[in-house]
Amino acid sequence: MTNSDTARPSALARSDLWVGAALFVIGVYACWEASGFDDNSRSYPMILGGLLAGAGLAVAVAGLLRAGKAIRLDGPLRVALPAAVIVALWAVALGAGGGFVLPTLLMQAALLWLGGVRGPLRIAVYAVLITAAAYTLFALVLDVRLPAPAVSWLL
Amino acid sequence: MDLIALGFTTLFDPAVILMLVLGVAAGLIVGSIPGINDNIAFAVFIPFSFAMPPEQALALMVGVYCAAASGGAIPAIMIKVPGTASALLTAVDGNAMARRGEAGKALSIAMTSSVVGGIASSLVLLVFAPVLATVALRFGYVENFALAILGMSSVVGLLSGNVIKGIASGLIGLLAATVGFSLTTGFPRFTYGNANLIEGIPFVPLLVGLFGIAAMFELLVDIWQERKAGRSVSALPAIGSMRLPRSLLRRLLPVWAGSATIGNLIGMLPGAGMLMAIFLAYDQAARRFRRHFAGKPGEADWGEGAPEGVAAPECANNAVTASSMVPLLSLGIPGNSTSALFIGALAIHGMVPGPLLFTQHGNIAWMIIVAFLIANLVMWPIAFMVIKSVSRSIFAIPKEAMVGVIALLCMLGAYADGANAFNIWVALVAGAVAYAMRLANIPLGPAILGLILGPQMESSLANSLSMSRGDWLVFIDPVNHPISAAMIAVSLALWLLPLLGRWRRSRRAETSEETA
Repeated sequence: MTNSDTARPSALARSDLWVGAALFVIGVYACWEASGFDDNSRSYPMILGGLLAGAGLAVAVAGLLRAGKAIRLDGPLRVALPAAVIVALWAVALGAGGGFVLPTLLMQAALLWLGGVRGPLRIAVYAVLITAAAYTLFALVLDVRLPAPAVSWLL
Repeated sequence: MDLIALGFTTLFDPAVILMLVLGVAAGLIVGSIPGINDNIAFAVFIPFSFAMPPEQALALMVGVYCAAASGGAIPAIMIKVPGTASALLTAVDGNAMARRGEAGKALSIAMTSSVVGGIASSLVLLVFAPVLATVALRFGYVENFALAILGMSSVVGLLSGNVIKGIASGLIGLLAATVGFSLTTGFPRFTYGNANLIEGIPFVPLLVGLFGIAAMFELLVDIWQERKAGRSVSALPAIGSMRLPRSLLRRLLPVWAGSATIGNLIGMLPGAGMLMAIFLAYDQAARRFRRHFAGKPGEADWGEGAPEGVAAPECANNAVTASSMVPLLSLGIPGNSTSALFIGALAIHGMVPGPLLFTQHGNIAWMIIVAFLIANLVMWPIAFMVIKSVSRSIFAIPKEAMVGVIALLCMLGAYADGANAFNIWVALVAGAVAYAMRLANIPLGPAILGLILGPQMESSLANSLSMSRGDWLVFIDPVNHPISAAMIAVSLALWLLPLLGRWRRSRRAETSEETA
């Protein structure tokens, strides 16, 4: 059992306090943004924003009063966040004229490594197979126009 | 009868029936992949269905919906990893049977039970959905608003734990639904000058992100935690004979009858959810097993490979699938979180489930109803083919490789909706938000419902208040709008009954403490 499993969270580490605070901020921001809309379009989102801020406040207060749990962030930070960054970089590469095949191969290799696949040959084989299957399905079978590369020799 | 015939005529177009069969096969295969639940199966197939005619697309989705719940039993029995949440309890007795060399028998019980539950549920849908739909023509703006309120209130049943977080989730969905042009004045709201948001947040990438991408993050974290704990998946047991003796079929008949009844009743209750049906059915099967078979020679203990432990949950989960479409098709209220996604599949093709579906798109509404029946009939032989062939190959795919497959399928699925790179970002952000919500223990179901019901709620509220000159009491007027007043009363009851139950329980606990 790790230290994080056994430690009692302090008031500031309690997840509901932060979750409630985040919901409150989103609600208040929605209200403020909606106040700039025209007269007939503003009331509905303002009511929703106000209610969300109220719900956030209630969650935060309950989180402060009750001995709740802290969110375990070790897994999400070590694998989910890098995975999101990898997918975001792939999206940037597609938009920047990198074509489909090369960025996708790199993304697959990175995700496979992150998922625990080891050995360069194994990673390369899986990445090529997955990329080829996706290209066949979307570009050839479903006739989806995949992002074009900036240079002609890239796929 | 003419209307049922219309449904069959629409369904028996070769391309439509082919899509239904493909959907069943795909649902079984996808459902049998550990980590991909019925929601993700839906999310993966929605982009494919986008370019199809509505009949074919919805037949495909019906097939996927029916079969994904059954497919989850395959890994549950073989490796004790439920492919879907609905196979949670199947894993207990099913895997125990597999470990003692009866994997084929357990799989056969699971699939037969699924088909029995599914057919019973399809018949319930066939009878009750049209009856409720006759109320359809009496719906105006006032009733539509009350219906949206009832729909949002139905999620109370889906909430476990923090109800305020559930309400917050619904509000997030309703707020997100306001993005884009105002429905009353055309004023652009929360668009920040981005032309891609003018018509609202793109729906297909949003759904794909909320389910597919969030699941990819979860799968990655699961794998990381398994590696950290040094756990590994055990070897695949042999499937063996799948023949069920007549004596066993006779023994399971009362279990099927009880479980199908529970599944149908729970399925028709908006918001009650599939898991509630499975647990109730499992409980009644356990009571029966203990009464008639426990302790007899040759009988396994409950939880150690009792056939009833596989039959009850599998029959109940499939009995929920079609019966949950009764409130969805006739009133637009989803019976569970997966059927809420079905609203999305209909919305993509310009159809809003609810009172007017039967009048505006009668052929599609009736086709969906008969498709549930046919899907369950064809599922039995397809399930056996899938188990004997594809499932073996699926268990050979490493879980680690599934991460990249899910990510690429979802991202390209999102991109394919209009070949727009902006959609990839929508899916990624939606996935990150959904994953953050899960970490924070905020349920996703209410947000999805809010996203779907939001536009209807806003426009019907604005029109109702405009017609009644700002009179909010119009929604509870029992003389001019009795249906609306009744729906508001039911909504109130949905909110108040759980609170009342909680209050009673705490009073009882206090009393027993005082007595002690």
